[in-house]
Amino acid sequence: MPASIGVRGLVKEFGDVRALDALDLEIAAGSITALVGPNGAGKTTLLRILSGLSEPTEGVVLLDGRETAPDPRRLHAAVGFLPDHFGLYEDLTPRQSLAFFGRAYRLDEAAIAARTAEVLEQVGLTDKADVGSDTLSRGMRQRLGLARALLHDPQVLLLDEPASGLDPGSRRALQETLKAFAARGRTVVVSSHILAELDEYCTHAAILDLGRLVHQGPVSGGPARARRYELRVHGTAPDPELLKGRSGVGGVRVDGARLTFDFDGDEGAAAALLRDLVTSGAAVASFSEVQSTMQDRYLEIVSRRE
Amino acid sequence: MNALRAALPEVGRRWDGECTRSRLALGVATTTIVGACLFGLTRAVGAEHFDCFHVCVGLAAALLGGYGALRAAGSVSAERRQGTWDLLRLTPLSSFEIAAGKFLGAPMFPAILALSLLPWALAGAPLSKYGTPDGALPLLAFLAATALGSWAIGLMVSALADERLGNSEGTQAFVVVLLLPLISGSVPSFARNNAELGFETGQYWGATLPLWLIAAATWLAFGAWAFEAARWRIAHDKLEPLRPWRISAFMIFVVLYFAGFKAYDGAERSALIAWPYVAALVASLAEPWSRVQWRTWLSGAAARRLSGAPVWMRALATLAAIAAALSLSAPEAPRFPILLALFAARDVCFLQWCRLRVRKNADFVAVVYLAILYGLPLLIGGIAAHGQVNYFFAAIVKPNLGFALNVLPGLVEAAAAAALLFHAV
Repeated sequence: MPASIGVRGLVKEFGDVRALDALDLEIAAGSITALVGPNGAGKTTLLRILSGLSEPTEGVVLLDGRETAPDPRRLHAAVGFLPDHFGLYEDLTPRQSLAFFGRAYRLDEAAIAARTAEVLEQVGLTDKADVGSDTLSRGMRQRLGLARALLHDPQVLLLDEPASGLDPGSRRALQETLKAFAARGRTVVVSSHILAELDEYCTHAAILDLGRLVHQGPVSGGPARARRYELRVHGTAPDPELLKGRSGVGGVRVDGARLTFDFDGDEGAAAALLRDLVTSGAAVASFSEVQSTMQDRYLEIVSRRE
Repeated sequence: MNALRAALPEVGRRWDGECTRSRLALGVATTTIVGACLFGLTRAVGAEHFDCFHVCVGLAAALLGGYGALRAAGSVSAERRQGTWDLLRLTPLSSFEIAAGKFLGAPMFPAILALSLLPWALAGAPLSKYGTPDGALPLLAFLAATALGSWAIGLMVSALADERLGNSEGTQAFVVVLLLPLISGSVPSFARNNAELGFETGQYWGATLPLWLIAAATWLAFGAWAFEAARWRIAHDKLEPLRPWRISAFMIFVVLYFAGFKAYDGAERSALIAWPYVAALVASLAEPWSRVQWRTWLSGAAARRLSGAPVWMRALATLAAIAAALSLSAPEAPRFPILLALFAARDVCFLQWCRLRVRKNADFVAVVYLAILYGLPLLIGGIAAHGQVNYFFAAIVKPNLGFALNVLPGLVEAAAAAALLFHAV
């Protein structure tokens, strides 16, 4: 069953340091949300609180609209979490280890056998199922950690730097696994610094800075600001005068053979602007919105702070 | 085994990881050979020179109480070091399921080794003057009680040990160093005394009971409390809502337990306050509170709820109630419990104040200051005032002083320490 997860007024203090500062966040059921931000922004702290590993100083965590604090076991049963740093039971094989966690998540023996085989296949560790966990490489350990988080088919999957230590092939496989998981209506929150990859599979982004939420929304959209457009004209380099005095237009820049500018208006207003340009005789070759990546938006937000 | 695995997954994990076929075969073969050699030696030289029964029981006690406690003492702290503790905390297992799984799972391998020695002990029993048939049941009961008690103590130390209290092999070794001679020595000596002294009995709460029963029940009762302390800490780590009754119930239990012995009859009853006093100090050492926790408790959503109060504060409140009860029940010596409760309040508040104000080694600094404070009466009393001002610094009854004057220093110091703490918060 899809589950939404949210936080209200979340504060977490470590001594004099405020890691999360009155954070409000809503993560929709069935979404894959990228949690990004500079080091020390509070991402790991937030994930640990969402997973029920850490207690907030103030504020509440909601799972499907219900507070989790009175019954943390309900949260633990619903959430799968892959922490940034974790250990393995070195004296167990991956199969034994997953069987142990399967029992801990109260799966029956038949379900444990089936799910163990399934998640080992998903993370590409089937051939290592019966070797000692102490012989696994770093990437394999990370994949075993992911298998553990997926084992009980959680409603919400929280991942802290899941691609750390993975080779390119495993990263691609991770993306496919997460997309397939979310396609079944499950909710995923993933924290990572590899923003280009997050763009490929995340549906939403939440940007944290200094313990506060500075942006949240769909990945295809941008932060609440004017959209950036690009204009090319036939023949010569475009003249900035073309856009002078037009409503909603600002930040005009000549960038080689094109003009880029911010336009504060919806798609209808953009179409009207294009019509005006053509009517006024401009030889428009192309007119399009510049799609900014998560990395662009992230860098823009961070640079604004600086 | 499958039902146990399903109910307590920790037991299954320990079995899979530690009781592998090769390990079990090697271990059991070793203890079998050792047992056979001990039995053969007894047959060869006679039980008066070498008593197989006695040695096998001692070895079994060492394996159960020493090695078993060592395994239990590493059960949580090792997971914290290895980074698997968080993964266990993420599961929906309850604190009881985790604690019980570790309690039974961690000492499983030593228990199997000890059990494999028991046939040799029983084989040697007829040769031994200590191995009387009538003594076998009490001995086994006592052995089992010491094993369960020592595992619970090991588990408690492991659960309470963290980075601050010394989450290391040293902590575990410390527990075993304490427990090993106690158990491996006391069990065989218990066996010997039991045979020689003809099943001694003792008075407990007016009833005449066999000593082995009192001793075994003591191990089991304190073991149960140690298990509960471990479970409390695991519940704390699991963010389970905590119920505030444990420390108070334990302090009352301690008083009632010792009150059953004749040594605390009459005027000595007031000395019972010393036991809950120690419990309050240990609770204070085991639970430091940061400013954030203080602020949350004083002004957060759960402001000043009893369930959210620090354990040491509840311990002090219980100590005050016990002191009042003891004063009423021991009219021959009513002052001492009240005095000790006041000085306990001073010590505990001072310790908490140090934690907020002293940046490094706050606990160590607090203990040093308190040691000086308790040492001062000796120094001043011995050199200058001939003991006349001792009661300024410690719970000392001065019969020639009125009640109010006697308790005044403790009251003032407790109030000052509480004010200091409140200011620091």
